[in-house]
Amino acid sequence: MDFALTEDQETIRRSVADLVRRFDDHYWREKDRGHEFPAEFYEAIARGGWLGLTIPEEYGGHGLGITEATLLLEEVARSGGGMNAASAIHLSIFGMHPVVVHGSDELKRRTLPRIVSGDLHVCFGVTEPGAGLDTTRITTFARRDGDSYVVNGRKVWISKALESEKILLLTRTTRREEAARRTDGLTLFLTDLDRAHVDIRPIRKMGRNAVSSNELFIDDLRVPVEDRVGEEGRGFTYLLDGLNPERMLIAAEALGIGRVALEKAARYGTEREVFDRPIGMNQGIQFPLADALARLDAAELVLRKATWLYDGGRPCGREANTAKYLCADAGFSAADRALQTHGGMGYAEEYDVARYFREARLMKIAPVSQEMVLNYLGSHVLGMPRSY
Amino acid sequence: MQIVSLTSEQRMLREVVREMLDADSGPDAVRRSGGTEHGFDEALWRKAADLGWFGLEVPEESGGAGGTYLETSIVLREIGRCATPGPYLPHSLAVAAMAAAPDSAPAGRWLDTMLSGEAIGAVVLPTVIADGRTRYPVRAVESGPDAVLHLTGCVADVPDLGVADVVVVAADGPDGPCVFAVPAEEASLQPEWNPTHDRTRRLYRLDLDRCAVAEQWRLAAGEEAARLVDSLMWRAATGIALDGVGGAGRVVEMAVEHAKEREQFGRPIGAFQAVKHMCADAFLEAETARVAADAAVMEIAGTGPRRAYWSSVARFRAADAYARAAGAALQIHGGIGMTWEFDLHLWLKRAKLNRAIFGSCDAHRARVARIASGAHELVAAGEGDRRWTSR
Repeated sequence: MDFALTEDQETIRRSVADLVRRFDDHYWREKDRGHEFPAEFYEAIARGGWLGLTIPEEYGGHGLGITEATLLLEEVARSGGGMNAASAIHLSIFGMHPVVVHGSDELKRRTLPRIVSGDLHVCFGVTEPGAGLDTTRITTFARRDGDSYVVNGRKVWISKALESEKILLLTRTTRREEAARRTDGLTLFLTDLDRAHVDIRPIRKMGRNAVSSNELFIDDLRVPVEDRVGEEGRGFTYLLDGLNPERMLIAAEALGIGRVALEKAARYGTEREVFDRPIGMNQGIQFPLADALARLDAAELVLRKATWLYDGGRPCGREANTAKYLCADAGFSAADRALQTHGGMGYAEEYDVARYFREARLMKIAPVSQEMVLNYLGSHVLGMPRSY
Repeated sequence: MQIVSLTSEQRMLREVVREMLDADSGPDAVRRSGGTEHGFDEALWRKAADLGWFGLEVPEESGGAGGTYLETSIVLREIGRCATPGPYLPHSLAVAAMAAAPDSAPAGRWLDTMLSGEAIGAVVLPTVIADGRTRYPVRAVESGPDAVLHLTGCVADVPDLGVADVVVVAADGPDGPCVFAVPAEEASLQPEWNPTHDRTRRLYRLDLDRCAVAEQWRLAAGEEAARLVDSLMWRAATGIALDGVGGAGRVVEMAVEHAKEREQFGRPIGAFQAVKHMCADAFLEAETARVAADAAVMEIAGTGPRRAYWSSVARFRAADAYARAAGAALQIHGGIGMTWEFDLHLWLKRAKLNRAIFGSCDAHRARVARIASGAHELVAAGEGDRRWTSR
């Protein structure tokens, strides 16, 4: 057993940390307050060549694995950028996976190099108001019409749609009732978000305000056949490939927020004096922080194991889900305790822990709720009857 | 919801009960009596009877003190505080059943001797199942040429059945619920002791296989039986809650006392916030349990409209709190708490067992959810059955 990162991985970690240090809490505080996309940060990441971390070398990327991707996003979140920073680049880092694996060579040549250069912003369009986590119940429909499809429907919680040129869009090409299996008949596209046919409305929300979350109303959007990813009707399977890495990335981001929140809290607890001594001398303050550290460390180990399994081509559903569950929980509870440690100041935007808190809370919901993770573990790992 | 405020007589009753139990039911006595043949201190039982503990809420014309459930609750709570072994709770339920049907044959036969402590009562009640509904494990079925009623069914975890002289059995009969008082001499009544870690209570299993019912056993039938079973279930749930309130209060006292006395790193361990806060949390557990139990007691004593709701809330809240407070007390005592010599385990084990008798904590939680959502009443009404509505 070897717990050490490779020299290259350590280098990635250090270089990313160095790069993102420029974007301090003040930067993120202002972006969050102004609901403004962190273009300067995105630009710096792109120029550093990081966006192509997992894109194959033949399309200009580095062809590295999910382990490196999680290290990158963990550092990005940990810098104080939190989910604002992570979400700005999240999809470029690993979201193109279905395209890389199943897309046509032409589609890949047309899009992947632009992802790497940062020129192409994409978003991911799966969730619908009527379906929630029950993905096969989506109703957005793509009707074939000659050399193209005509798409109509609604999507919700589409991160970064406002800022994106293209969307990785999941549709139905056969209605659920008419499909042989409920997972059949779904088709994936990577296509232009043509504003003339897609109305994008940002959702007002609790945090992560530098990157929009949107509702999409799709009205007769024409999609050329060349924009289809893989075969018609097989979209659901293509997505499945990406679910485990997605969970690992989210886990890494949650871990990063937990780390930065905890660092802030430990510093504040050591510096702030009340009743003539640092408040961190109170066990009531010190112990919850020490407990948070233990939980973050434990969660990190599962995450590392999960990415190690995935990169080695081994099954990793159990570990990916467990990592998401534990990292989200540890990250949130670290942020919660950091806020508590700061007392009234924790509630002020100026100290940033309130921002971490709001963003960490999201990780217990996205991309799947903690409860759905337990469903997975209960039925797929423990072999118990499906409970939902 | 009313707040319990005791009258001076009720306060005096509490003091007398506490004094007597402190003297006769200290930890040594609890250990001793728990290990005897019948598992309890019979001399203490007689004293309790002489002091009138068993008839506190029985009307004066039936030989009791004419009080309310509030008085009974004071005794049950103090018994919980000392983790006193003995059939006090089931006996109080059996007495309540007899007192509710004073003109019945069983009441005529048993009530006086039960008040004097010579006869001991136990109860076999319906179970609260996992989804919060009520299920009767015992059925009364007509059979044979004369259509004689027979009791059939299997019940587990019945407290103190083995020492009972009479068992009040609630059964699901051909015309709805019915309640019988089955004498222990009945040959088919063969309780089987299920030893548990808790030495302060004894649980029994009962297999009834076509036990022929004698007419003079009938305590209640029809609507009257339904009401009686309701009231017994509320009292059983609240009784366990009261035991937990008393016990939780006591283990918190022990923990606080220890935290003040025991010194480490040059100061009492209670000066360390981690320990101090644990004491405060345990205290809070005990307090919230007490409030819930008080609410249930006031509802029952005042025949309030929310007896079902509050008795189940009190039941799971207090049983959970007792187990948690005892767990915290153990942690605060460190290695000492783990020893056999130290008494804490007496309460801890009783606390754990309390979570499992007269319905599990989760079952009562589910019942509360059913009542709060209205499902309880709807289903009951749909079945043409008013049992266990929240009224």
